[in-house]
Amino acid sequence: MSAFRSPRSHTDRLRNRIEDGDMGRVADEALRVMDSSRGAWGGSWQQVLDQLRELPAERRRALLYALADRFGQAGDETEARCRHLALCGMVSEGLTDDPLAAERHRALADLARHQSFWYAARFDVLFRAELAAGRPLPAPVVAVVRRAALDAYRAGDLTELAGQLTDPVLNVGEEWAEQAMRDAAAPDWQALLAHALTATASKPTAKWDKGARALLDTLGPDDVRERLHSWLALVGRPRTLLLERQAWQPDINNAYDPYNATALRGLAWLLSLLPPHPDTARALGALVETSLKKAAGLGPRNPKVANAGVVALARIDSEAALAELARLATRVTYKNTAKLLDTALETRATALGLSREEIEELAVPAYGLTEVGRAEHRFGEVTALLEVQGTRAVLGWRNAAGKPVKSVPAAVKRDHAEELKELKAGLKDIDKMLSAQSERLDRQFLARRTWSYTTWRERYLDHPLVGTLARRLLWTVDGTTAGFADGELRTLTDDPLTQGTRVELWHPAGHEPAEIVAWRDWLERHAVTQPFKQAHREIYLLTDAERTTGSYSNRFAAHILRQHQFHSLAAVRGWRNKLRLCVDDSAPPATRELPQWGLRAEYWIEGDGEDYGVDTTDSGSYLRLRTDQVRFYPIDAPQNSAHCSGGEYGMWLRDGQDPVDPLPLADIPPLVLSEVLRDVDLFVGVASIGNDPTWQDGGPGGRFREYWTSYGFGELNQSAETRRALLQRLIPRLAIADRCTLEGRFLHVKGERHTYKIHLGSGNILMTPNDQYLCIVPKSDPAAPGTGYLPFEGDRMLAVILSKAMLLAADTKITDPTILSQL
Amino acid sequence: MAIVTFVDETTAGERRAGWGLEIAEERLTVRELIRRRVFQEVAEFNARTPKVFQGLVQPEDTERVLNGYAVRTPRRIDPEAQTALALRAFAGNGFLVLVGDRQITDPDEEIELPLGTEITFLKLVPLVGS
Repeated sequence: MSAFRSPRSHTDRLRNRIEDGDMGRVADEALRVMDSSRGAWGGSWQQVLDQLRELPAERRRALLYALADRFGQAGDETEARCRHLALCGMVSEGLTDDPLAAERHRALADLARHQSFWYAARFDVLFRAELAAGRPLPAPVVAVVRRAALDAYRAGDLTELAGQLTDPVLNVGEEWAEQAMRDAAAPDWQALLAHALTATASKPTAKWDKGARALLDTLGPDDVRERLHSWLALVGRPRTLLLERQAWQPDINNAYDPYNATALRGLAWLLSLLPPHPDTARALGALVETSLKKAAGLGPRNPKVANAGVVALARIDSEAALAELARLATRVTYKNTAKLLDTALETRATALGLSREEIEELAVPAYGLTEVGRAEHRFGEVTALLEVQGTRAVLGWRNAAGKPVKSVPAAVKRDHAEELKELKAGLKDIDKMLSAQSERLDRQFLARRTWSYTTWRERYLDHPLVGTLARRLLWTVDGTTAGFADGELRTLTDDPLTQGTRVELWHPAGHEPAEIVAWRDWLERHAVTQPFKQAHREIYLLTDAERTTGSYSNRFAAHILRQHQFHSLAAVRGWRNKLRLCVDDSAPPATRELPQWGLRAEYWIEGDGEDYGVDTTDSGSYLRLRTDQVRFYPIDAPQNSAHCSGGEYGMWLRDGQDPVDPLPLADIPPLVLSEVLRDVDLFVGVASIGNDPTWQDGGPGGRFREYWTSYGFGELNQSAETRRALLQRLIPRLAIADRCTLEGRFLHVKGERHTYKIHLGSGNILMTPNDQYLCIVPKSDPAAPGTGYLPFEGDRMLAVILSKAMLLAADTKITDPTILSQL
Repeated sequence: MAIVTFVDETTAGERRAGWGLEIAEERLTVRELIRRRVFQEVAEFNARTPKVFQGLVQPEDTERVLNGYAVRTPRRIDPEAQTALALRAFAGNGFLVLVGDRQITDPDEEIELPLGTEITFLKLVPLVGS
């Protein structure tokens, strides 16, 4: 490649070559110009090009053939070949010669495998040349033109060309679009898709709706619904035509085609104009969730389509749609869409004169359950029995004689296929709603909700669906704690409690330990499994160190966390956080707003390291964060922020605002403090690099060795304390009991070769006599028959510690060479 | 005739609801106990062949999912093969068996089964050096 020059110097050189009259040398110079300009013919480069275009036709023909002879120089990179061809096209305007027609055809087929191209590259010349030669553009080529035109707001030629390409109506390459085009062969259906493509605003206008209604009247609402549902079900499937991902590009094969995304938005809006139907709510809910799935380098795949789904749900006046909105509100963490959901629910609440919380409660449907967690459906002679067990709905069958049968009776499959399908879909709805409600209830601890007794019985305890969760939780009725057992609400002494006025969700903070333990026993006695930790919830009390520091807590400072894991976990727990990039920018701390308390909790963090590609991902986000204080502020205090790479947090003060001091921790209500610190402990416990046993070498440059060691062998956190208590109960029952003792932070195990100390927080092992580290890790892919430990089965770390103790107590029987070599 | 209760305990201190199994004998080896437990849960699975097997050990050719082991192709599970897997897992500390308040490690140890004996299964994790 030659040295790049300015347009000015090229103009002079080119003029000299043209005067010399050797068209071969003109062509060489023209190609050098193209290198310098990178094939972008805007601004002054246009004038250089015009020197060539103003030559008489004969000389341009000679130049064209000279350029065609040099086509080999373009190499085999698609864009370079297209640039060369575009130059040929531009100098040969008005000529009938087309020496590179076949090459152009091939190059365009290659270009169709790209996501897009730069509008300034003037490739439109190529497409027009193809059309002029009487060859219609293949569908994949049409698709790339449309995608490129979406970003070509300054290139009239390209957008104009894209506007002329009306066939096929959608872009090929996506399963749903191809199915839609197969289904929509008739002109009216084509018109429907074309109308969907005009959904370019964020909300439908009256005019758009009018056009849509006219089409729906022609096509019939039921047919439209059925087809649209079947198309939407295919959204997000792997592409049928894979695109070539360039080095700098995100995972485009997992993204939506941006041109088709507009049509999806239109289809979502169309659904909201049809008479309400439960399937529609399901289809739109699924569309929202599919569109917010994350793709590498991109984040949520297509917020635009997700938002359209929410807008559509908000416009449907049905219980199912409202329920779907409420369910999504508990699931969606992407801020933009979450806001829309929030607004939609607020609007609905205001319209009904209710509060936002109440609308969420009322939005939970019974899904045909006739009593708490149970329903019977009759199919002719056969009865289907639907029961909620834990967090899942299960289906059982009884034949005409009332005897249980194991599978779906043939008669039902034959005569009631449609109802059966509906029943099974309902089952899935229940499963989804149960987990959403369980999460919602888990968040109620900080919501300061109180209910009147009758309302609460109706919406919680006796609600067919929510009741299955509420009856496994503890509540406070007029100050008396009660749980549900043997068909009644009962106190600790099992006395029935049949009336009351005010109900709250019980939380262990502020209760005596003896009382908490008594309730744990009560739950065990009545064989109640709680949907989430309530009686066993970890409590975080103010420590002396925190009383000393006063307005901040250092309990979770100086940890190194994996940023992306922290980020998604924080979002799930209702915190707001900004992913930190290794750039010159600042960001606020991770924040949880507690409007009911007028408070804002902050966890101060900063990016770690500066080595691009070692400390960051390819896209420049930090792999790791360093953590600092936890603080509380009044909710309306000005925002704090700090540079992404670290440094002082400072308040952003506008219009002469005064800075606001953090609140003394002693003034924070114990419940709030406990719940906030529990969240932070969870972030550290899950995302810390300290619990990765393979980081013994301290990671990049050994920088984290000290941290890793202190994390792995340091003070116990709350969950490790809980673990200790459990071990105390469990160890005496084990065969290796006489070889084990619990001392401080460690479980000591006496083997034959050494005595081992297993840390109760990290499961790390030290050996006597010199506290040498012994690395043993859980097997990730056991070929041997394992019992397979699953994440929901309690505390994996405890299982790891126990397994290590069993192994080391019999250390003469160890055969694994990687362990033996360390002993 | 005695009813023995099987309890699956998790390391969170949670105890799954126990389920009873009728045992005609007054003494049995642990090996036999494991076999009966596995036969019972395989029989229940084969009666309904759901998509997910929720049992003591992972059957061959299944994958772990959130609440058990997903059986890829609907089929019956062979109780003999499953018992062999369970015994191998037991030998390799895949799970612990506690009878009453005592851990039993020898599969051939005979244990007394008075009425109301509680047998606890506690799952562990496989380990490797690194």
